[in-house]
Amino acid sequence: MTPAANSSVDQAFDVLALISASIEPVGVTQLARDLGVPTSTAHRVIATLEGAGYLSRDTTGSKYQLGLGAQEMAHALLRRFPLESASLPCLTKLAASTGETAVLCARIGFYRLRLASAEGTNDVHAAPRLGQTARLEETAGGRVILAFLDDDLRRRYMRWRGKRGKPAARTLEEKLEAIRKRGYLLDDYDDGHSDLALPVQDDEGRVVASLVLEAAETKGGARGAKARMKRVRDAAGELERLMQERPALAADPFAHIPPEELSPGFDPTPS
Amino acid sequence: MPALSEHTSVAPSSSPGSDPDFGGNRATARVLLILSQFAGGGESRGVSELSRELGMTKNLIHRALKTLTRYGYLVRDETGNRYQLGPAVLQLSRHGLEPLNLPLLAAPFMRRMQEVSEETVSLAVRNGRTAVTIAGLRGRGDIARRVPFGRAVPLHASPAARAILSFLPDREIEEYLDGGPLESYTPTTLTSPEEIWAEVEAVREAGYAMGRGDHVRGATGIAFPVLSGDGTPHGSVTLAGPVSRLPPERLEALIPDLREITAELNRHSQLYPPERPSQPVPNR
Repeated sequence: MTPAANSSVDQAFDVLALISASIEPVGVTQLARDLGVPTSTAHRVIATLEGAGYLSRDTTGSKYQLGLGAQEMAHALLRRFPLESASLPCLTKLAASTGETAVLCARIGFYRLRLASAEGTNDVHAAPRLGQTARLEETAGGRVILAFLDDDLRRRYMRWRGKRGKPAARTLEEKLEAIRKRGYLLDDYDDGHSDLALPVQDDEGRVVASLVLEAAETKGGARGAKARMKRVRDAAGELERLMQERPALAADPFAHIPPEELSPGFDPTPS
Repeated sequence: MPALSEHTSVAPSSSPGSDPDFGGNRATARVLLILSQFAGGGESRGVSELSRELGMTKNLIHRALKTLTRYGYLVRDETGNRYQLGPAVLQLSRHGLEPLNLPLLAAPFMRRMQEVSEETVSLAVRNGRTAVTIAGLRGRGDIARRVPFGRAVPLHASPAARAILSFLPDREIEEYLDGGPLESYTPTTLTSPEEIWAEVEAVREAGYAMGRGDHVRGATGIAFPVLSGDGTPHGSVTLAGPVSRLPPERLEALIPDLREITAELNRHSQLYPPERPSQPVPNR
């Protein structure tokens, strides 16, 4: 009657993955269909996950979403990066002076991770989306990290993406070269929002993170852009000084694992 | 009760499946419980300590860690002997983490505070120069303290408020004390900056703020801070009731239980960054 322990654990992690992937809460019937198991089995798996705090019911009581316990696991992982809390005063100052959302991105393997954030003080501002991952080349914050990554790691990234069916690396290399020359990356999007990203390096010049100012609408023309640039530069400089004073802040909690082996368990797409 | 959900919303710390009506799979529940042990502060953990803490055999822990490592939820730490959270955990924040829902997080702990005391329990957060009650559970007695929903109390003038004030950075406390009149509500309200600083030191030392009949006559209480990742307060939880039922010796007797419950709440709340760290105090 009881399924083998292994298969039950597998089903639990499958359900967790399905619900993590869905933006909307998911019902039992759909979960059972997606997993290819009877509804009674899906019920049992859900009861296990709900009992452990990983799932909770939505307001209708009939569909399921990630519980606080699941959210806390992700928060706990972010807290392993010493820069997570150390960067907050600096991010807060930047968000208050620009009105826009400031985000610190770290590297986990070959992914950029949204590690810490201060929400913009403007009523309309970019969401912090903490804990989100994307391949380094896919977002402004990640591309800046990739551009300043040491040569060996960057070559390994190129091989890694090649194996994943990405097109020729030539144009990417050119883009990265341009970022290195300029020292920053400004991405303007059609809808008027923009990302301004700068590298944050330790005193040996290793890129530890990137600082991104995500402007919901680009205001003030060239002068506004210049003012924002100065503020982001100052904030990045402040973070670098902080790391010089306390080198332990630059620690990468996953440094002992080859980046090729660090996958978030799904293929994240940028949003 | 408004804003309080009835289901357990954070991972339980007790052994899974002790509930005879548990409809889930006990072996899987054990694996999930072991994974949950890695949430507190994000430190790495070893087999022996997990076995000791959870009362499970080392063999069982070993098997679970192997499963969790296979999925990437855990990886070995740099020592090679211990484990830390792995990148697969980031599936759970795939669409970005929700901001802290403090009433939801605090609800199960507030219910436990009410159960051990049968008195009114409330949750307050800071708004500028005041603490505002945003959720609560009424005490079970015929006469009980009302949950003062929406009531704004100056940061120096009630235990709930002082539990918040005392854990702000010194600079922000200075700004508060210099930034406006310090109103008096009863003869025991502290109104001089020197007295309030002395009280702040006492609250920091004790870890809680005691009622002194300084806001509402006939009522008393004890308040604990709910802290964020950088040590600044998200808010405070308060147990309050009529002075007749909560004489000093009864409050004292409740402290060990309340300490334990609020310490566990803080282990969860400290995983969340502050909403607005070290912002200047806005004008009221």
